[in-house]
Amino acid sequence: MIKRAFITESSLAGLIGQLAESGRRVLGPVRSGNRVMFKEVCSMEEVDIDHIVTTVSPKEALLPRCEEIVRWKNQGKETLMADENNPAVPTVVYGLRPCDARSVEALHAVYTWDTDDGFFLSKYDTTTFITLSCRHCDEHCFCVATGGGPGDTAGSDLLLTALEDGLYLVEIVSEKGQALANEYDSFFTMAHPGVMAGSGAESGHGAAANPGGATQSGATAQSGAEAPSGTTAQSDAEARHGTTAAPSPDQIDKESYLADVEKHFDLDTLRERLEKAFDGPVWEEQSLRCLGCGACAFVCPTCSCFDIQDETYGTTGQRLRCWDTCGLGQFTIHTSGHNPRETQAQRWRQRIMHKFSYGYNRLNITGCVGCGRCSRACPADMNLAEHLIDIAGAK
Amino acid sequence: MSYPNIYRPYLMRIDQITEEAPDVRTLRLGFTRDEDREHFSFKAGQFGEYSIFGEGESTFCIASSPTREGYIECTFRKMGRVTSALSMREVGDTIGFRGPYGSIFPIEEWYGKNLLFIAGGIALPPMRCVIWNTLDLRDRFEDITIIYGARTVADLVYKHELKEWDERPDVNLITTVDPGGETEDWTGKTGFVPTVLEEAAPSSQNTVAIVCGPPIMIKFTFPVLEKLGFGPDSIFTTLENRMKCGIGKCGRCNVGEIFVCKDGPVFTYAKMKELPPEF
Repeated sequence: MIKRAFITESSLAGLIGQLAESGRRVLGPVRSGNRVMFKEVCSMEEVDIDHIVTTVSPKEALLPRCEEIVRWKNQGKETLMADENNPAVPTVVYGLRPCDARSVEALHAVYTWDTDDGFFLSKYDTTTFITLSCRHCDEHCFCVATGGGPGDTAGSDLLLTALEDGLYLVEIVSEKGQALANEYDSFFTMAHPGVMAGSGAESGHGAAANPGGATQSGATAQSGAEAPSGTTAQSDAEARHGTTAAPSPDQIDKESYLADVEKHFDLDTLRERLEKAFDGPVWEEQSLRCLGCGACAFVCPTCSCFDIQDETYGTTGQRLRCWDTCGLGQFTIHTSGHNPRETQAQRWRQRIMHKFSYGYNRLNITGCVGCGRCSRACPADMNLAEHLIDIAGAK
Repeated sequence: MSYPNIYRPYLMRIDQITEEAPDVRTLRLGFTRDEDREHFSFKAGQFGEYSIFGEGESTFCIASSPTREGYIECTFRKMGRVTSALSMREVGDTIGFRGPYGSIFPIEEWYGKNLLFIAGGIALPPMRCVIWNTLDLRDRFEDITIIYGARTVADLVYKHELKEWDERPDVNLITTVDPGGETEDWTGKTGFVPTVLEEAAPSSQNTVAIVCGPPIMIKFTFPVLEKLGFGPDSIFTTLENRMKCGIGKCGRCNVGEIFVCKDGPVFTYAKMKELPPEF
């Protein structure tokens, strides 16, 4: 069973600040105009929370847009290759959504089946995902239809759900999440501090608790010295107000705080229909508007295809892998000019089939988490959920 | 935890260059490190990613036979960025090689059978590996027939080896060039490969056919083979979908549920029939 705790808004800000100070790379959603992108942050003040999902997914934490895979130096006729890869920087991704976290599982499946991809795995091993569940959704969201949900824990290390009055429910989902909670235990609490919300205790309140343990009453404080205020404040507060009236983390009805995301279609029905849809007219019809720009794949959290390109600087150079997509006409073209998927309809079919049929049959993953970014990004206003409903029939 | 770099190529030295046809070359590559040579092994049908540092990687089958140890060969036509750079390299230069990748021709399952090789143009190189592999184990097979066609006489690759195979009593070689591609002293046939195959009408009894060529040749050759009585399980080919990683990650060679780089490049016609026609 997933362990639970509370964290206050100010303790969360304190935690993010401490994580950044610890030398970790902390990535959080940062607004720039009408875009919200994951960027390295030092404090919670930089973080935007007023969005449904970020414009581009957080997959960059594990799969940079362009990443060096080989580096070399030419000396006359000899080529010398660099021996070591740069070790991954321990990273915390804060503020991704449950759909984003779920996409990590799909990426992991692709990058570990048959052969382990060290560039991906070294980052995966050292990245902790602190996810924010969704209190709101919009018309593009369809996570529920793809098997997820606004409070889904899959792929997260810690899942935070905003309750009320600046308080979050914390779910400790994984060992990585537990390790982080243990290291920074003073920021978490088992006691509901809601009773103090009006008394200014919100600011800098970081009473300690063992987030994984059954004990409460603010006693553990393994690293209590880090806490902005000590356990005494908590004990005092409890003494004043008592704890019996306030709910424990396990008593919180998380679902009541989550967005109500409609289930747009039935995934099993979609898969069944796709098995017979290869030669159907639907691909031509749906892709008529498609410009083949690749924006959908660029913002997608599960698109994992890449290109490999070399760049040189004088006598040195690097081989890079860069995001790429089956939606682009050059993806499959042979040097001879022959192209196995020469029309946009064929490429659209590949995108849908790969995400919902091939990938499931081969790796047991659904290559879509219903975040809706592709529909938001599409310059031709193609809506993936609508097209999937079209194929599967409305649920 | 540290992981090995799966994209790190071997450094190979060009030991020999053979001009095969206009813009077509064969490079013989030796390992620059003894330990790489000792650890390296491959089987007929497998491919690799050959690279010029600064230009990129290109995918070719290994054209030499695994029975010839200590080196590998690749044959390519100068077409794009990487092959143009490769064709500028000289003996002694260093290039990169990743591999071997992909599935193999099940040569051991063919012991005791007749072999029919059918190749077109620049697609003889992947088959040359299998041809030499089987010729080096000649007594394990019955009749060996090779039908090879190219656009013109000049475009025929491995001319010395064609001569050698032609002179061997234990090989039946039929060469052909497209109509208009013949020269005055051309003694081979004139006509497209599927037509020449139909005329030659080799028996399908106890025979496997190994076909490699451009998509258009493959498309017209399979029906002829079926007409001659070859079952789809007895027809093998090697697919040439565009690839980048070679190890099932980059997604480029994905066709249906398979990755040509992992599940292929060697497929039976029976398997191909199960897949979407995206070759």
